Amino acid sequence: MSGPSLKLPRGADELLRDFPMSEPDFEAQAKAIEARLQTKVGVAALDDVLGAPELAPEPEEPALSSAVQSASTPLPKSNFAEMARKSLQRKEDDDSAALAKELLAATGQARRPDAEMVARVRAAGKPAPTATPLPNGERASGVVARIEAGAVAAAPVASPAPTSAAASSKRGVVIGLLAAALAVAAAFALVVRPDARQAPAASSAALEPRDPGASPAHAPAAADNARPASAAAAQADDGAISPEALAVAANDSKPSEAKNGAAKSPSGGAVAPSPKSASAPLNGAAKPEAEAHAAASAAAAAEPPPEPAMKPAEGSNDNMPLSPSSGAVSTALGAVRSNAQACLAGQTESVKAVIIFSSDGRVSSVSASGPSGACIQAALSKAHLSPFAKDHFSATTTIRPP
Amino acid sequence: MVTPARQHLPERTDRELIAAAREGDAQAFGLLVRRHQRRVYRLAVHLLKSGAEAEDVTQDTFVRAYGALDRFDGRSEPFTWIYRICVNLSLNMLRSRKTRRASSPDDPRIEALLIDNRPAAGSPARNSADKQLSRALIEGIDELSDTLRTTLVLVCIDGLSHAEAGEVLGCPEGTVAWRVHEARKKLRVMLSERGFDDDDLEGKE
Repeated sequence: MSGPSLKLPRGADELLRDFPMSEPDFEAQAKAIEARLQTKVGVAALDDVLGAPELAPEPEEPALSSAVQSASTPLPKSNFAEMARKSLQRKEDDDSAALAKELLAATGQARRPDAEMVARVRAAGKPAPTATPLPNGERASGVVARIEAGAVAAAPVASPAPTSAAASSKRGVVIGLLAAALAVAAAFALVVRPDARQAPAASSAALEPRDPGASPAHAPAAADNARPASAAAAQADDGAISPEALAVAANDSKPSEAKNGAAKSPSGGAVAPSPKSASAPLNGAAKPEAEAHAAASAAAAAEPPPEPAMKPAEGSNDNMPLSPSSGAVSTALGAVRSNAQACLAGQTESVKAVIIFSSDGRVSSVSASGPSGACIQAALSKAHLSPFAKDHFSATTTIRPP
Repeated sequence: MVTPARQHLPERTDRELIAAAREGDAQAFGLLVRRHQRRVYRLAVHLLKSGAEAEDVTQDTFVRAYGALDRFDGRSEPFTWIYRICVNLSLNMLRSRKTRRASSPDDPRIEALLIDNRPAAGSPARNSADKQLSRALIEGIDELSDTLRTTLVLVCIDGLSHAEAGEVLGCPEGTVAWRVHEARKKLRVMLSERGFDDDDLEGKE
């Protein structure tokens, strides 16, 4: 018990702890309860008492519920932290792991990355994080659309695009981030959706740029990590990926995948197209549209057929309950009870029966004592439940004479 | 008297009894009933101020709990789950009453004051003072709102921790702590009005 928060008069707490009270015969009451255990209790009656008691809050009661709730469900950290975390999980030995660790540390400490980090992030094709406080909406969406102009100016512009003005760079970053969000959403859909055959279609549909001219400049970190090493190498020179390099990378991707089992993972296979299709138009402002599409098609053609993201266990059924509900058992037994009662016609004593259901819902055994036991067993063995996950379920019921 | 053989029998936990009861072992549930029925009854008495109603609620609590065994998810302790059912049933009964009564003719707490035959620990004067304090406490507790009374009974009378009471009531520990403090504050004022003033306080605040 927690210590008293406010002193009461002498002896009051002792009295509270052992309050004098006349008590009934508890053993008799326990027997009465046991006799009532077979009483059918409706589901509504159970719902009524299993929830939290409806107690009106006191007039001056502090509203701690919302505070606790918000504390227990922290706001998601910036999308960069999530990206960096995924990056670390998927490719520990990747070259970008160190950078991702730095990114994670920076976002974790909510500090602004220095100019060098911004430059390295940009060179790696990832948007630079910012420690500028963001409005809630932006924070929730995970899309950071604001980058300090100073940081952008300090960072060497890695894009080979002819425009080198800060405004143009900012626009590119924003577009890139939007594409990154799309790619992450597609990757998420691939991982979550159980039907893997639909995943590639959803992925490509989500990732296919509608307007290559306005296509993203950067791929997301998660997608970036799934990119074959050769593609990263192709990008390393100038920080941008050309369609030619992508085509080569796509051709090289098979041996790379053969070496790296992780690249064959469902998420890897699904996410891999995203940097290609998303970054194919990276130079799209200067390249013809058809060329960009061709590069994307080549990359897609080189992809091995993706494996199912999550294969459900054989025979599993999400809708199947672990064990039948008490209501279902009551209903099943109620359907055959009258036949069982008929076995006791002319008798005065009740018979207790134990019915064991197998997982397919059928009765596997019935035990009932007395001269009418066989008759009751035959009647109760016709009860039927919906299938359930457990090996068996036993129910006890008392058959009273009609 | 406990025999040596019985002494060495490992006592099954509430969770084990619940698991056995789920498998149809009614005896296991009977053990659970016997283990908790006294506390459930005393909780119901403080909430309902009536022995007969408290007995009904105690029986209903265990019958409903048995019917809902499959819905016990194991996240909380079985006894807090049973307490929650008891509190809900008691509140339902309170709300179904047409009038709010201050006391009941069959209030077991009042009966105990009248027929208290516990061995006297002190002088007759002391026993008389204790009875007066008990009566004042009963009146003070009954004057509290349902919310404060329920929380006070769970924590200060039944000995639940703030976390356990929070599980029963479905509210944060901080809320439980605030309600306990508020209830004790009001109780102290009520006791003071009945002549149990600060001279009788235990220690300092």
